[in-house]
Formats: sequence, structure tokens, C-alpha cells
Amino acid sequence: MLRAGSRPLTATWLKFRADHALARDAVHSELSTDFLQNFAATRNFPVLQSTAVDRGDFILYPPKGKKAADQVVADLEKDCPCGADVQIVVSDGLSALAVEENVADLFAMLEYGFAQSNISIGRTIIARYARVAIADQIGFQLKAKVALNLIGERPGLSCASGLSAYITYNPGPHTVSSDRTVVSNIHRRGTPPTEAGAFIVKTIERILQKKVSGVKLQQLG
Amino acid sequence: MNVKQNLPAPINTDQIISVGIDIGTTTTHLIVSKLSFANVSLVNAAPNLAISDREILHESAIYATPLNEAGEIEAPMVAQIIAQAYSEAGLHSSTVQTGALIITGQSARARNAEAVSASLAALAGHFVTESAGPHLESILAARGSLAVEYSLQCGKTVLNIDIGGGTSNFALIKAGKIVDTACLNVGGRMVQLHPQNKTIKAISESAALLTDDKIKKNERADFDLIKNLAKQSAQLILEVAAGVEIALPQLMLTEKLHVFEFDEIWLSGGVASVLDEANLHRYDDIGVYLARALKEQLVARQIRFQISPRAIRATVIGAGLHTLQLSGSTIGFDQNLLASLPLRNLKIIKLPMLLRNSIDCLENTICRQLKQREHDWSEEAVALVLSGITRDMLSFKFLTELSSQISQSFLSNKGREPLVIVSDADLAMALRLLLQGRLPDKRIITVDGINAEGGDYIDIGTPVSSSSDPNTQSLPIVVKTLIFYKSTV
Repeated sequence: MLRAGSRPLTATWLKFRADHALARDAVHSELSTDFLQNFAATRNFPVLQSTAVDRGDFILYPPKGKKAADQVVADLEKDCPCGADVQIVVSDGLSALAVEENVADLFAMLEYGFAQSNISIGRTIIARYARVAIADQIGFQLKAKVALNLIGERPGLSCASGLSAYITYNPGPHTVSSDRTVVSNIHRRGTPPTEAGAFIVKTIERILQKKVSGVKLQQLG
Repeated sequence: MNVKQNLPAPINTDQIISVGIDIGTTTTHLIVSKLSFANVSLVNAAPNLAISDREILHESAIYATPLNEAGEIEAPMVAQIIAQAYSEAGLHSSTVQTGALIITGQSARARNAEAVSASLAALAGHFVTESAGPHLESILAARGSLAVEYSLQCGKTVLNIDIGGGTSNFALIKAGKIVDTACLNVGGRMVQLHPQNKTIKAISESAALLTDDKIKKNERADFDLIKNLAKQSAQLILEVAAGVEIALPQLMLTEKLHVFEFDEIWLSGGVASVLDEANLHRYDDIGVYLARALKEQLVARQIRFQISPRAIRATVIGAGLHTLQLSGSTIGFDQNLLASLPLRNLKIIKLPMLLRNSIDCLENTICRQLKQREHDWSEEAVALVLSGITRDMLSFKFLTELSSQISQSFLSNKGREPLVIVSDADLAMALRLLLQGRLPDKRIITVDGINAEGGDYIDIGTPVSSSSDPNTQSLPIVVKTLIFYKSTV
């Protein structure tokens, strides 16, 4: 194929536009009622919302996604057991699509693995318009040893449905980014959700044993 | 000779010392290399170890393969060679973590090849011992000669021809991938001369066939006949290279090449290393004759060729570096299984999964395969090799069914521990978790990222790791095609 000028070739340009459109769609995607019904309601998982009022607000004002209203989180104590080993939070983050595609298999694996290892998991919370830190706030409130946030990743041009798992030992207002251990790129063409689930179980087993997460965990030995 | 003294203590977990020993038709030699591992996955993604560097630490001298009158390998002398090479390299057998002892060429067809590798097991403790069939040998030579790397780097299609003492091995490499192999039973040592009086000391069956028995043992060598034999052999080699059905098909140890278009030829093996040798009787065989005849014909036919920078050691380098595959880094393995490793010569039971729903009858398939291979699982452990599992199939439901079928058949066959499962799909850690739930007291090892479909036996070494995280280890795996290749020639 011959080039005229310095612009990208048409095929490349179209691919870029298509990928970019997918990424934009993912960022604006909401957790569907189907998902909330099938995954959350059937298991009796509470759904809460960050301080953002809607998806647009969340995208425009990112800090709003870091927290839910204090009263909302405090109310969780009524229905959710405190003091579990692991508090799981499922967050839409920047791709609700990622959650819908991967969470079912990932969660099933986690549930099975934690049960095998005698690790208790409390009741899972679904958080909308949420960012990573919201799990630390929830985990702190519910006095969990470990907060595990399964959250839709910021879409890139190659993948719009990647999920990450952020893991914090002893989560709370004092938590900073370096306290979190991350397993990223969980999707069908990355690390399959089932395999990622098993890896997260093993990782959390180690975190509970060593009582640290994040950079400190990496620095061990 | 590149000898580095004072080898470092190789206990660092992200590096392993690997030794390759090649007992060929003519020569026996040994190479010590250091393999380094590194995590090559994206930051924060689940780890993935890969061999990041291969450094050759020591190359032994090249010894004549000790054979007795009956053409059998003399194991004690091979042991001596290995012991000497170890001491030159400053190595102790306990520091060698992995390696391969490969018996190639005509030696592989020596009757006692199996006994030899057994008797060397003590010296080469953690070794894979194997006699290479003609296909594997071609592959090892092509990898060791650097032809594969060259082809990958420049995108060319290269035909590597490794001409040893007894056989010529062909490997066609397309953009770094070996797509076809073949083996012809001619080499530089088909005829051997007595060093002093130049009478015929030995003549191979191939050479007898090619010369209509005109060259006779103990008679004075007729150099016109020898030149003619070399010319004929060179012609045969180029015919095989061109994918032609040769006139003496009994000389082929494999099928002919199916693909035969290439950009250039790479030459390796002993004959390639004497392409410019001035002394015709340097090694008292027809190697130099063959080399000259081959060069002449390559030039006459205007075929582009080059000699591998690692001509004579191609196969052994290939053996030491490349028979080893590294599993994925999220595997089903626990520290308490360490005592079960290394595992050697586990029979492979293949379980192809072509259709998503064929999983229902997996238990039957396992039983059928065990019967077919005449294997009693209660007597000896096996490696179940799962193939045909695509990414789209890796749901929790699928893995649950898979683990249930496998655990049922393990129990009903009173399977011998450890239960070993190998797959190319990314599922090892998940599958082990599920299996352990069903078989809580059994030792289970699952590895992924390994394509073992073409293999008959498998070896699993002790784990390597690039970090202190016990959850991110890889196991070195060697898949063997045929343990003892037997030729009809």
C-alpha cells in the first residue's frame, strides 16, 4: 500500500476510531439492571453509590468516586457481618462492561477458593460510580482484615473490558496507593477470570499470613 | 575454547545451570550454560516467567565417542568424559539443576543406548536423558546453530542442514518457526580409515548401499570411489533439501520435506565445520570429502548458504538450552510438594478436548487412553495432557466439570500420586484449587503454558522463580517425543 502524506493509513485510522469508540462506550457504561438483578439481587448483595450523583458527575469529578456518604457506609453495618477476613467490593470504575463480563467467573472462583482456605468473606457490596479507595472506606467500616476491590479498569485502545483486583491489608483512611497489591488485566484475553481468582486467593492467603500488602509485600524477602 | 574459571554458585533462584551432553555418532561433547529468568508480563498483571538470557559458561573439548567393536557405546568412558568436563568447568554434579543428555545420530541406534543413559544417571543427576529421534535431532540442531534466531530476526525462510558423522538433519525454519524436519542417513563418518595405512577401518550400511559394496573393510582405500561416494552423498543431501523423492528411499529416516522453498541454507554439524579444511584426511574419514563435494555443488547451483557460527556444537547447544520449556507462572504447586520433584519419565496420557461438550465423557477418554498405552495408573503416576482448551472455554462451570471428571477417574482407577495435569491453556492454579477441593489429601501438580501434545513422556524439574512470592513460580518442563528411537535401517 502506498502512502500519501504523513497521516495514518485508512485501515489504521479506522481501527483507532473503532477502539476509541469502544473505550468511550466503556467509560460511560452503567451496570445494567440485568446484572444487578442476576448477580447482586439473587445473592442479596447491597448496592450503594459513591458521592457522585450520576455517571456524568463521576466522570467529570473523579474525587467523588473515592467515597460513599458516611451515613450510607455506616448503614451497611445493619445488614452486613463485621470482622470478616476479606471484604469484597465490586465497583464499576471506568468500565462497567469489565465487571459484567468477568465478575461472575471470578467471583465463583474466589468464593470456592476462600472456602477451601477457611478465609471468611462477609457480604459482598456492589458500588456504583466508584473508584479504588471506596473499598478501603467500606472495609474499614466493616472491620475487615483485607479489602478486595474488583473494579473496571480504565479502558485502553486494545481492551475495554479489563478488570483489576486491588487488595489492601488493614484498609482505612490511612491507606495510600502503595499499600495496595494489584492484579490487573483480568479478562478473557488477558489473565482469565478463573485463573486470576485462584491467584487472588493465594495472594490474599499470603497477605493474611504476612499481615502486609502492596509494596511492603513485594519487599519481603 | 572459551573456558570461564570459577563458576558462580548457581543457587540464585532466577538462574539455573543447565548442562547439555551430546553423544553423537562421532563426537561426544558437553556444554554448560546459565539460563536466567525474568518476569515478562505487564506491570501488575499476573506474572509470567520466561527465559531471558542464555549464557554459555563452558564448552568441553570434543571427544571421540567411545564405541567398542560391536558399535556399542562404552558407558564407563563416557562417564569419564563427563567427569573430566565437570572438573574443567569447576562444576559439581550437585550444582547442576537441569540438563539433557542426548544420544544422537547412529549412536542413538546403538543397542545399548538405553543402558548407557541409565548408567550415567548418577553423574547427571537431574538430567533428562533421551536418545533423539531424527525429528527432535533436527530441531535441536536448528535451534543450537542459531538458524532459528537468524530466521526470526530477518524473517527469512532458512533450511538448516546439520551434517554429522552418521546422519544429516534438515529443519526448515520460517520466520523463526520450525515448520518441517527430515533426516537422511548419510554423514561424514560413513567410511572410516585407519590413520596409518589408510585401509578401510569401518563402513556404514548406507555407504555400502551407495557404493554397491565396492568399498570393503580392511582393503586399501580407493580414493576415487570415496570421492564418488562423497559426491553422491552431497547430491542426495541437496535432493532432500529440494524436497525430491530420492532414488534410495531406504536412506531416509523420516518422510521427505513437505515444504521446500527457502531463502538460504545454514550448515551445521561436524561436516560444516570442515568446509574449508585443507587436510583431506584430517579425521580419517570422508567428512572433508563430503564437505568439499557439498560446497562445490552449492556453488555450482548458486544456492545461498552460510556456515553456522556454532557449527559443530549446534545439537548440544540446542539440547542444553532448548529442550526445556518453562511453565506458566501461576501454577498448581505448593512448597510441600517440593519433595515430589523432580519427576521423570511420566507417561503422557493425551486428552484432546475438541468440543465444549465432550467433557461429559472425559472419564471414559481417560480410561480408554490408559488402556491404549497399557498403563496401570495404580502402579505408576501419569501426566494428563489437556489440549484443545481455548480461552473462551475457561468458565468456572467448565473447570468445575473438568475437575470433577478428573478426580472421579483418579479415584476409580486408584491413580498413583502425584496427580499431574499439563495444559497449554491458562488454568493451572484454578484447576488445582478445584481438584484439591475434591481430593483434599492427594498430592496434585498442575502446570500450564506447556504444549505437550506431541510428547510421549514428560519430566518436571524443581521450581524456578524471579521473586520471593511463592505463588509465582514456574516449573521447568521437558517434553520427550520418543525415549528410545529404534530405526529399521
